[in-house]
Amino acid sequence: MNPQFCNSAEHGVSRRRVLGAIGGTTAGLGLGALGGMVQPAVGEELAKSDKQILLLWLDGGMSQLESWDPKPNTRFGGPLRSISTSLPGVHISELMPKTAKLMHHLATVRTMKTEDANHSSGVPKILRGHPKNRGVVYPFWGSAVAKVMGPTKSGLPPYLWVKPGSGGFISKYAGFLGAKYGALALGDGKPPTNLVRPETLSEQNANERRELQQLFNQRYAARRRKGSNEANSYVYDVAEKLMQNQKLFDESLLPDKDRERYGKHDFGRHTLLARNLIEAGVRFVQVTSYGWDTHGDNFNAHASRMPKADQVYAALIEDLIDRGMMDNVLVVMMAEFGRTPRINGSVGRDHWPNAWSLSMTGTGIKKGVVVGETLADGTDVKTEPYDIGAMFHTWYQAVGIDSKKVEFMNGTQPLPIAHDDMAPVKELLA
Amino acid sequence: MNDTAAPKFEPKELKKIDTDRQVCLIRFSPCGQFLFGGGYDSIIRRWDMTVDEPQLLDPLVGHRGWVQKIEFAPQGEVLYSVDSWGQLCAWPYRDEAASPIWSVEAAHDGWIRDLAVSADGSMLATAGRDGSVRVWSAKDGSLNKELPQNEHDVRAVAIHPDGKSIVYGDLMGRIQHRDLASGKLVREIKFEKMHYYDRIQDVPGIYVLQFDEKGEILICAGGEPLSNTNHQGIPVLHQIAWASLETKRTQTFGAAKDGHIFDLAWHRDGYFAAVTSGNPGSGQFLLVRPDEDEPFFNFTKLSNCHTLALHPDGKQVVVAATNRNSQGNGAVRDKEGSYVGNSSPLHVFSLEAAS
Repeated sequence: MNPQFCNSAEHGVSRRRVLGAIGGTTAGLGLGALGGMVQPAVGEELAKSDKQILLLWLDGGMSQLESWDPKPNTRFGGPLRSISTSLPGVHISELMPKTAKLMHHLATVRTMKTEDANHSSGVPKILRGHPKNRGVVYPFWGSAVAKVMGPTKSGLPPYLWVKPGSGGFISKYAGFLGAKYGALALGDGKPPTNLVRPETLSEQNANERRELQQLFNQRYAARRRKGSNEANSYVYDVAEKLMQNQKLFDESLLPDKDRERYGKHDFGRHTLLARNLIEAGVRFVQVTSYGWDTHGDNFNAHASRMPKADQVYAALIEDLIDRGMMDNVLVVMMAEFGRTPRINGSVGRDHWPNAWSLSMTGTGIKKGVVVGETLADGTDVKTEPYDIGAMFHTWYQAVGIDSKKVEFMNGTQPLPIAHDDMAPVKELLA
Repeated sequence: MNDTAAPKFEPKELKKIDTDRQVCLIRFSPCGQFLFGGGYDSIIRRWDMTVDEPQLLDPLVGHRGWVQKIEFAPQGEVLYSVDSWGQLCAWPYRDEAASPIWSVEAAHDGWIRDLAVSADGSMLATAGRDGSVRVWSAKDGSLNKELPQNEHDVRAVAIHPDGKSIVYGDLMGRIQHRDLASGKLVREIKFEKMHYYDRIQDVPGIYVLQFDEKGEILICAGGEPLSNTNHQGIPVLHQIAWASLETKRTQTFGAAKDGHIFDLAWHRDGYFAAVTSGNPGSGQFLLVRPDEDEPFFNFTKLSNCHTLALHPDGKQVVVAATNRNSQGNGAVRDKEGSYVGNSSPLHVFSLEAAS
């Protein structure tokens, strides 16, 4: 055997291990890889865009009453106070003093009214933008953006997900687009394992291996469907790109000042990493914070959690402003729903899709607006309700995608990228 | 504490008082005539309990946040109350249209967690989410002393009956004993399991700090939390010998669904009454002798019990629970289409052994 192409087990970086590190098998990645085109001319144009998206996802459902839409001193208002903000006449929870000073940079929607009060159906429906049912599984937002816009010129993977716990390649998020457009999840912000080239493998040898692998891939592709091979090759490209950018994941290289500003808790660390990933050119980054499902002890829970979310959000916005990134990056903070006005026996709040809030800022978004009003006791919307489908239209428009015209192509079937019957919220667009 | 002569019996529920709102805390006035309830709606309700059908009287109005603690002056007819917006008030509780004798609007920056009155009635101590512990003149509400600032939310406070020491417990399960005159830290003890950290959330375990009448035992009650999203935890009570600050006995009551001891009262016959609240629907009303592991009475038919009031004559106790089916996703509406809130039904029990 040529020593340059020796048994991979000797070096500890095998094709299988790289794939394993990225969390899927080629077979798994190939599944469902048939569909999902965008009209070619549109796709090429969008791929040139430098717009990026950063989604802060508060999994479980943050309380709108303890954040963006407080109702102090009312029956369901809870024990906490509201505070004034940099927007005259606008108040938010006392748990968000840092964000309060930045409200003039934000757009807040207080009349989200969605359909699902369950996590299992609500999360995917929100993250897919509640498209009209057409008998196909729509992609999550990140996958859709990865498809429609592709990687930025950085070449970095277009859809990264920073989350607590384990990582891996989450192909199912891609829906009908095909596994390639799934999320690469960075468990606890760590890159996939086995990214480091072993010292025993020279750079030249690694390149030669890569060339050989590409040759094998071409032969493999000749006998298989295009989509399957695309996914197969993609994991190698991702692995190689991440190998070239390992410094992105090295927390020790971050200034202490940054780590203090974002917080040393998971949400802070992960959002700081997300900022770095965005700055490096990743198209779409989602950061997830778990544990917001406060059926019990809602107020102590938010008293502990919200200040951290406040710290994270404020630090991120300040950074994007300081670094001149607000014109390119769309930032959204949301969950799958809010929490009930009524306070249950466990001093908690339950799931509430009826009148909840979310926040956004950055490219294409009007700054310093609060859209919608809820009833004085928070038990319903008072002004026009908005579905998540309307937000998807808004966000696509904000990053330069005409959501009424751009379509996915599922084979020969054109599919709207956002709900056909909904439209962007003009008040939110710059 | 008399732990040898506690009688064992089964309390009998005498009546239920319906309420239209939820309460944080209920207490009998020292005279026994009135029952006061501090509400989620910032109102202090008062009932005349001397009539067959307890009569709801004019409330005490002036707070703006949740009224989570109420205490009484040992002499005179004065009620002290604190709220979650940081206000401390003193009220002439018998007056029909009571207005505060004095009020400190910003006694703390936000949520006041606990309030204690010294045995001689001269001092009040407050502890808050802002990490501060303050001592006030009971006479006029002037600030007497500010204890050293704490890093964490201070959840409970008690003044030793001798008036020389103050103890307080924080979010992390740490209890500090400080000299009241100097503010100097004397001793401390930490219950690690009375704090839980999960997914960027600190979950508190300390709910109650109380001295027994002689000041020999310090009770630390609450729970050992096990979850951050549901109110799960093991209700726990630590009896701490004051002389040594060592835990003399630890009692637990129930399983993870049972949550925490929310409120507790010593009965003069040598046992204590406590209530727990955990998962939706889980509530216990307990009567426990301090020297036994198991309660001699454990009533589990009430949902989510948050507070109790022991009548000064020791013959009755009122338990504030929560209405059934208090939880549920989405909008729950009544027949008229109005959004439905929850309430705290008050259950009156006799503590007299059947003859």
